[in-house]
Amino acid sequence: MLETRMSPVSTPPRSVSRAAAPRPALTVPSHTRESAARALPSARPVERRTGRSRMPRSEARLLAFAIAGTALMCAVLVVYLAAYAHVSQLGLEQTRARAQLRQARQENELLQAQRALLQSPARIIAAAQKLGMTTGAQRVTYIDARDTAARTADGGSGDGQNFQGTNGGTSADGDAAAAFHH
Amino acid sequence: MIAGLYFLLAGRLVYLQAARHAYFQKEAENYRVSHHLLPAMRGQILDRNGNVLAMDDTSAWAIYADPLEVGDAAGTAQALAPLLGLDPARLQALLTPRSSKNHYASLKRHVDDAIGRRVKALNLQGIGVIPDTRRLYPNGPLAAQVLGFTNSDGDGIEGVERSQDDQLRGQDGLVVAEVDRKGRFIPGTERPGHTPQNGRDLVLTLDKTLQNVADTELARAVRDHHARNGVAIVLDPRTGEILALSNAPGYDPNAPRPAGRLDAARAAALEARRRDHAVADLYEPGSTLKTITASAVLQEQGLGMMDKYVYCSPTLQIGRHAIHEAADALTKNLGSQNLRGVLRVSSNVGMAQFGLGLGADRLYKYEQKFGFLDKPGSGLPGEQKSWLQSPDEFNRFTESTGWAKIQLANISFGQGISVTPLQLAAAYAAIANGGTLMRPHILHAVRDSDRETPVAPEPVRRVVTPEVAAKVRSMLGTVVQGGTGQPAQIAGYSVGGKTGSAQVAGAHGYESGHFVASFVGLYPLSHPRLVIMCAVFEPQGIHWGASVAAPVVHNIAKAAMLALHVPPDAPEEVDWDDHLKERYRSQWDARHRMARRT
Repeated sequence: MLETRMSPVSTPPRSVSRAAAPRPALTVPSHTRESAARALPSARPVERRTGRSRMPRSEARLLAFAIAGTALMCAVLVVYLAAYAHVSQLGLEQTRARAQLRQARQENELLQAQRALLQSPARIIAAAQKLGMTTGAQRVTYIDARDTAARTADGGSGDGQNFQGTNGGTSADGDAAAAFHH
Repeated sequence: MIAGLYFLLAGRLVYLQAARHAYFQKEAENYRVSHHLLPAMRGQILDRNGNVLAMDDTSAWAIYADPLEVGDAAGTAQALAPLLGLDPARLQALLTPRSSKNHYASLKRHVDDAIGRRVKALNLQGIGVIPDTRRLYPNGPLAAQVLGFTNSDGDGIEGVERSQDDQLRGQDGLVVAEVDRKGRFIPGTERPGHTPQNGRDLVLTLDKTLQNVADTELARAVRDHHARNGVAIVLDPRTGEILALSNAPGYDPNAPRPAGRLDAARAAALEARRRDHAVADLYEPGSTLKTITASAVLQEQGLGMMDKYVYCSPTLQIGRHAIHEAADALTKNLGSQNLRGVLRVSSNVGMAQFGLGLGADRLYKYEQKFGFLDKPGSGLPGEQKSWLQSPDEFNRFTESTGWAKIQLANISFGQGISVTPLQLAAAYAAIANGGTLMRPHILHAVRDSDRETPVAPEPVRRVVTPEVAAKVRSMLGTVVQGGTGQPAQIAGYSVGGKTGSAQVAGAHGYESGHFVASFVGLYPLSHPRLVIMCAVFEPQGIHWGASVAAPVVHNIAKAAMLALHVPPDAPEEVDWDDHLKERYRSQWDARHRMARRT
């Protein structure tokens, strides 16, 4: 075996079969043997290569499949985990959005209630009275077409179609609002 | 032996996994899954212009206690009592555990937000504060008897809240999801439950502005005349929509029941305040019913009856009974009057003669046609109808069929028949709109999420022809122009109406000194937009419809014409207030001149 290791450097890996074949014995000097022994570590890769080369092709394929399958599974797992994390994130965002919606609805309801309370006639009247306001005459004022001086209905003038409010704006019968002052 | 042990173990496993599978699955489910009820919101009640009249307020809190957790019941009661407005002794009793299973005691519900937060801040042991929903009536006593109120669980108890409870009530939702150790929902684990369905919003026919005016004016009249109670109704005769329905005295539906125990008298008074007298109380309408008799006479006997005159003597003897004119008319000689004159001076004797000429069958037919014998079907709870007996039925008092002559005469001018104020207003609305009885109604529309379903006006039947209705309206105009209804005049508008001052019937005949003063007005008379009815029950002192009820109608009408922007139709018409001022001024001038002369 040692002899076969003496000249391995130039030997291609496929010479495995040749190595198994009988060869004539070589006489090697002792110093050369020592140097060969020193050179032994450099010969190890050749031995490894020789070992791998022994694995059958089908096994190697199986191994490759196994490695690829594991890698694929890992990839799928990573994708699944990423997707699950994404879904969880979306779920959290949805929950947060729902909470915000709920809060906004509550605030809206609260504001509606406050608005309704503020629009209460009793409150408005009380506030107006506090500010010194009093109820108006609640009657219609007419304008005589010839005389622009405003007269109240008991003045007996006007045709009932042409009237104005206290703001001085005249209007035809279409805009009755201008005729009223509260 | 080892094999035996293995066998036992395997058996136990089979038992747990197979035999008790369902049980343990349920247990695990209960532990990990939570069912959370999502309460539905009760629908809002709005007026016709979208103003909120009733809504759910979600800012309230409910305060509860776990008596077994409360360490110092006395101290906790002392701390909570002033905040919750409860008696400390009563509170302490609630906080003291009654048994080893007494884990819950409700202390107070529907607490204001500020108070709830203060209770929370106290951080008392065994006291809990959870969100609560209460019904809010932002306008306080406005239209209280129409709206009604709910109990603490949100069930309608009175008014529209009660009659429309099915529509207002929603359907609670349910969330089913897995929860974490702290009971919080785990996102993404929700299972199909069902979302809450909020109740439908109801849009009423009421107009908040008119309602406020009606409430204010009626309350003033009831207070000024020391009356028992009063009713005011504003009706749109074209559609039958109730624009305002007021009862006085009122109450605040936000606090329908005062705290503490009530004695029988106070409970009865409270019950009377909550009652919607406009639909639930029958009363003898008196002279306001003469309009119905006049309509029946003209419809059955023709418009030629306008030329028939009857002599209006102070009394009319019918058998053993005598019909009298009203006290103020006794001293006057009313003389001969036609139908218009009889209405103008509101002669009992005159109308009794027209009624006798018409006959019981035909008068009964018109009481029926004008809707007094049916419930109006307005959508308000507790409606009543007249119990007038048909002339065909056996009368146990006269022991014969048919009405007695005196009964017919009495019913002609509004005694011996009972109606509700809403029935009477609806009957006048039929005259106002040209002779069709419209169903008075309180619902304008129903809102379901974004969809709004309007409630269509419903004509019940034609009662009189448009010609007869127009003639009756002109007679009502005469009543306000120169008859008993003058205080209803408003400036710029033609007005028609009829006064009523009826005695109140008791168990032993008419009660002395007890009256119902009423007035029904049509505004403007040329094309009526509003029928306004007011009845003041048992006013003290003066009791005439013209003095007690007509001014209320007058004030409501003035505000209503302005609020609804109704163009004036009679510029020459003078406001009754100005008449009075002029009258007082001339009286004052005369007195002043006399004083100067002397």
